[in-house]
Amino acid sequence: MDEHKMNRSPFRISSLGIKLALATVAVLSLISFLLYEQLTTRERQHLISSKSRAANMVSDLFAASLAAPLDFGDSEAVETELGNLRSNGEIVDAWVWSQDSSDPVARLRKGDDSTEQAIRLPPEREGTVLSDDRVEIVRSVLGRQGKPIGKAVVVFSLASENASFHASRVRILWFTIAMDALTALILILIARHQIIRPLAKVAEGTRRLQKGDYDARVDVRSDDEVGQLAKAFNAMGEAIADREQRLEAARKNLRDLFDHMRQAIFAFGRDGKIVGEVSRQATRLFGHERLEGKDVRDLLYRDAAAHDVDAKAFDEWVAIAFDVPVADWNEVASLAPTEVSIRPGTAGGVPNVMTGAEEPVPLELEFRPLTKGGRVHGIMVLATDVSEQRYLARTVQSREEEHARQMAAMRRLVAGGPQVFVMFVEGARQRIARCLEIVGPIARMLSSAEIDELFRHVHTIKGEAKAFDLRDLEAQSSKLEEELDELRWRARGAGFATTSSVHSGLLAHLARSTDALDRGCEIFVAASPIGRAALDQVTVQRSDILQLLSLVGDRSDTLGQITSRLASRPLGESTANLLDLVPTWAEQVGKRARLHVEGREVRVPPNLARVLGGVLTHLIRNAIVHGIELTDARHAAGKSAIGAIRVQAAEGNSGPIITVEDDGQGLDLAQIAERALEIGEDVESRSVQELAFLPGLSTARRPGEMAGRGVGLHAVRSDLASVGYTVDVSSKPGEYTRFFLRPKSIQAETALHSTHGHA
Amino acid sequence: MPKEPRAARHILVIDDSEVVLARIKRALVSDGHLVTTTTQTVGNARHLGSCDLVVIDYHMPGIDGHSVQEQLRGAAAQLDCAPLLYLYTSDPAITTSYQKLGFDGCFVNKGDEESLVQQVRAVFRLSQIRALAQKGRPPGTTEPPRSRPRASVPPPRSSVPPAAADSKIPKG
Repeated sequence: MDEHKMNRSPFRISSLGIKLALATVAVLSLISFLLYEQLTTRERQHLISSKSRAANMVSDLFAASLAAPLDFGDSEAVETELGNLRSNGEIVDAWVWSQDSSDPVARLRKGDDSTEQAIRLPPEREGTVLSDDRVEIVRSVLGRQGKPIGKAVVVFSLASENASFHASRVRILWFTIAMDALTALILILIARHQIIRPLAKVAEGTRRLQKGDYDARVDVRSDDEVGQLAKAFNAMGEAIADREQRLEAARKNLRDLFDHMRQAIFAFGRDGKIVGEVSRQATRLFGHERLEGKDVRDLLYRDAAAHDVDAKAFDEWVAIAFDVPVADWNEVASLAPTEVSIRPGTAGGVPNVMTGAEEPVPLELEFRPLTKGGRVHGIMVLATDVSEQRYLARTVQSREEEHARQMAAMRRLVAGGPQVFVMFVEGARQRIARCLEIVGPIARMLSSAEIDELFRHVHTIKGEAKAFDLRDLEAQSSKLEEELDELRWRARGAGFATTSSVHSGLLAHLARSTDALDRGCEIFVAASPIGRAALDQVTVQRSDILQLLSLVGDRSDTLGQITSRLASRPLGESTANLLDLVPTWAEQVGKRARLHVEGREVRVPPNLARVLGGVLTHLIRNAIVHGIELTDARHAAGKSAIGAIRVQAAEGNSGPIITVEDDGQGLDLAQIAERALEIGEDVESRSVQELAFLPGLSTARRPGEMAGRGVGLHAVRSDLASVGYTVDVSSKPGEYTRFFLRPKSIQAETALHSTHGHA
Repeated sequence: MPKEPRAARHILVIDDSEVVLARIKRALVSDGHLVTTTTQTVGNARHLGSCDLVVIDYHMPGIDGHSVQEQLRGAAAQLDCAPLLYLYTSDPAITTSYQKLGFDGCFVNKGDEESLVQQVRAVFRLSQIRALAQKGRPPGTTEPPRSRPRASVPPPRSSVPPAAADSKIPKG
């Protein structure tokens, strides 16, 4: 029962029908009463008036009959006349006085009217006196000369009129009551049918609507005001249902959005207590089903000690945050904490992938004001769990660092000679293979000597891995070493130990060591300028090869080919130092550039390898100085800020074909031609290709440290020609310049595409 | 770690380990601070004039951290705007007595540079908050308005009132 009903007086009427009936009865009763009063009063007046007129007539006649007896002083006659009145049932009393006497001459007295005064003085004036129960008529008795000779008073009873009046009044009363009741009944029936029932339906519909039954409709078919009310109610119900549906859909969408947001969202008031809706992420993150009413400080700084400066700053921030105008919020928000770490237990901590221990959960915080009337009345908190991002960032950073460290180690290694690494790899593989052979496919009894041998192999692998900075291999070897040490301890005394309990572990460690060694090789391949080819190398003395080559000479048979192949060098060897130098050279002339090498493992014949380093250096420095644009110009041309120089090599039948290409501005033909004219060359009879390789031709106005002396391309052509190679150039203005290095035996197909050039 | 836009602060860090100092410097510089590090126990007063915060490892082997702190406090007293002196420790026992030792505050979790960065941020934030509260404080009052005082926060050191101790920090 609701409070309204509980406070209601027990005598209070709630039914409109009863109220209407009672009001009708009250109004009708009032009208009836007034009508009744009017009718009965008039009825009585009418009766008394008739009675009075009759009484006056009788009194006049009686006074006239007394004239002679009083004139003659005949009291008997007076008594006789009075006696005549006795037969009149309406007359209850009569008095007769002579003119000069105060004592009555005669009196007619009927019944036991003991209350009537015994002695009465004659009234002074004529007239009619009315009282409730009687009519008293006073008349003068006139003599022969018309002079008054006495007085007579006749008293008439109103008993019959009063009785008649009373009976009439009772009838009118009952009639009125009956009319009232009938009228009220008719009105109630009409009201009930036409008003109360429809209104009750509307009321019932309203109650259903209130309870959430949005299908509630009222069936009222009349067209009167109640019918219109019902139609309005139905329309309102449909509108409410429609709005509720849309609100519910919107609320559901908002809730879904709220719950699926990455942030934990909640709000707190001036007292620091959490109020209102809380997102699902917030309950999950803080580990409470119900956050409402909890202190935001306890959530964010639960374990903070008294000296915790972060918690202290937050406390004082909350203290001022609610007192600033909304316009100043940004200034205050900038002083809010942007990050907090909550401890495991407050929320589900993130298990460390290595140790399994739960780590603090870092949360990025945002604070937004909830305003009302230009003041901050609440603060919304958006807390984002960034533990995954942090973990990924740390992982990427550590991996990048590890990779960089390994690459640096490998570069150092390669600089010191890849053969050593190849020897190590071969040796480590043989040691692992020997270990696998000793351990065997099934568990067995190992002698102390076998265990010692295993230990020695693994120990050596560990040491060498450490020397080459292969930490994975070192870690795996170290674990294996520990197990073997344990096995060796067990074998001490008995001279043997069974491997039943550690057999699978030993095999697994050896397998992981092999994997780690493979990964080391992959890193080596990535870091080495000669790539995978280095791993196929065998260690031989270069001088021996060169001597063999001179002995074999220019033979084109199989021996000559094998000897030439043995003496050949991978392209990567010629480009190794250029990789690091290109960015530096570019910086020296205020540009940015990077070298990309493809086909590092392509074998370069020994005679070409002898000049190739210098040739590539000339071409690349030329590309940096003349080809690659300054950063602003590259941006303006829609190119990336860093210029790309590509050295590509492909195996050919007569030798490798090498391309050097840059994505710069292309050859400047006009300048090449102009410079050719300046140095007195015949421009008409030579192609631009020829002009570009002329000695002393450079498009640079002033010679620099890197280019501009006009010897670069000429030297390139000369060096290549000395080993049976040609060089051609093609270019597209604004896009590229490409040099082709090919054996002379291959017919040059490429012609100069552009008529502009640089040197 | 997201960076908060702010004016660069000058922080002096005193520790006996070059390695520790290098790590601390790297973290704080990455967060946009100007950092001076030193293993010296004397002559640090010359840095105080341009310094907003001094972070000291109190228990340095073979070094009297108290005398270092006393020297700095003495030198700071001569300045119009004294920097804040904060103790940096991993010893929970000391954290409760930093005021007795003469420090304005205490940084914990020594060795966790990320945590140090957050704590340093909070110190500078706190000083700005107090400056803001001071600005909006009714005349005649001495404490910033607090809606929820924390009873567990110890009272400020008697020799250096909080407002005075923090007065160096607000810069903008």
